[in-house]
Amino acid sequence: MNHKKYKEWIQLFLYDELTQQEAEELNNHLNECNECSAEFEKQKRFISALKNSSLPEADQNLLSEARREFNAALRVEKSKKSTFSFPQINLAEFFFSPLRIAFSGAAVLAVGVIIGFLLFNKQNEIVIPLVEEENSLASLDDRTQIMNLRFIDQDPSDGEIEFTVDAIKPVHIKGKVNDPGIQNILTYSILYEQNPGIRLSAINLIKTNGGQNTDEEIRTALITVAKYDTNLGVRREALKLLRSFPFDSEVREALLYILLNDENSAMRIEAITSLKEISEKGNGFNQDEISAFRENFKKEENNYVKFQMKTVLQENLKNEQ
Amino acid sequence: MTLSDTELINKAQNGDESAFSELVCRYDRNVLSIALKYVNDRDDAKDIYQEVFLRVFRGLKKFQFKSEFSTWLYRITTNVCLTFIRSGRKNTMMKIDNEMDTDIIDNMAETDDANSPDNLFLRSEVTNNVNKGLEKLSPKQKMIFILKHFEGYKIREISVMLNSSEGTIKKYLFEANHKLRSHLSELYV
Repeated sequence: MNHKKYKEWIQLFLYDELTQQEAEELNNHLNECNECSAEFEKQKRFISALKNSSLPEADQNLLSEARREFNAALRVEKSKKSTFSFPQINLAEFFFSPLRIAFSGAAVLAVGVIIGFLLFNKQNEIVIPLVEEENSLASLDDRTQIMNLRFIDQDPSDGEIEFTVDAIKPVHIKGKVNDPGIQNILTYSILYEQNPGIRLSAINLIKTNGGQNTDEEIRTALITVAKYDTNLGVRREALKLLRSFPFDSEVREALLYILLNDENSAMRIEAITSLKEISEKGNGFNQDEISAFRENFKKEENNYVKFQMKTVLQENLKNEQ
Repeated sequence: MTLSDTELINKAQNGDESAFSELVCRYDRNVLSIALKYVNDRDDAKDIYQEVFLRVFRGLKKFQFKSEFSTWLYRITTNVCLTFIRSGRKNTMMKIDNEMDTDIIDNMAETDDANSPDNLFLRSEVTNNVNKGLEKLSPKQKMIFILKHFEGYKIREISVMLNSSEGTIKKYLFEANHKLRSHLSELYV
């Protein structure tokens, strides 16, 4: 008798992976075989015991954080192709080569590279000594933070080993708030900085640039932050600042996304108010927006937002008639 | 109107960023869920999530619809998980030194209120033991067991994700089951 086969089938049966015919064959065997019948009970108890365990679930907070960090990484990925192509620094390898490099480390380095670039462009000032070249020990000092050590060769038999590290060195920067370089650093900070207070300050500093905000990078960063930042205050300030930019289709899509997805009613109010403003200036609401309002009207919990959606839908209905 | 994956991919391939975002949002919870269960560390799971979708972003232009997008995505996810090396920041696996007390197991079956403090404690003990057991599996055994038992995928789906035959997947599943059962024998004997 092939007990091994039936013992395996027991597992498959409990996972609903047997065909009807196989299940019947197993059932017949279990009726006759005490050993396999006992195994069946054991496996059932095992599966049932596993049900009492709860492996971690991806909650909304984690998902939001993952999305925000991914969007930041994506922006680096895109800018890597378009903006940075200096012969001195191989950013393609530098940023994303091994999976094990946590993005946080790379993000901090990215800021370093940008700062280095900005300073480098001023010709007579310092260049950040990023440790990416071989034999860079001389450039390290006691202010340098070392992290993410990655061995390339850890075999000491020939007397040498080889590895890379991420080295971060503090840099003092002073400049005009509307300097494009400063604005660029602030933009990166609102995407990468871990501390929400700093992200908020960076947004406020970008804001002091007033009506001169036409930079595409800043606008895209603000859209990302307004949609995905985990901190409400940061999202809200980003959204407010976004309103000082020309309303184009991307901003409009972002507003709709916030209206439909943000858990905070103040954000949704801000979003629908802005959308109404845009529609009044332009050609009204587009079909996607109307469909989204129709689908989400019942789900909306905030009375003000609900009322605004209802008004839009009623006006749309009138126009159609 | 909801666009199909194919429509979204076509748009994304032509540079439509919102289509790409929608595609990500359609599947990212599942990707994160698999990653989190596999590494049992929120930061590491985010790293995996990021790497998966960066690979999708880089590869989408060359995607030729030879398979479903979801198949391709989950294949990337399982590959990234299997090749993932902990960043070394931290390891949140809780180490429980004491063996499970058999009284706990007896009580577990008799307790009705799932949210009672006692039962929550028991659940956490069981979870810790399951995590310890999962750590004893090989990466592939662990991935297959998680996909099958905790994520509920069919063996056929897992075989496509991991680019292996159904027979191979079953073999890994049986081995994982055997090892886990030995480790957790106090839980069900």
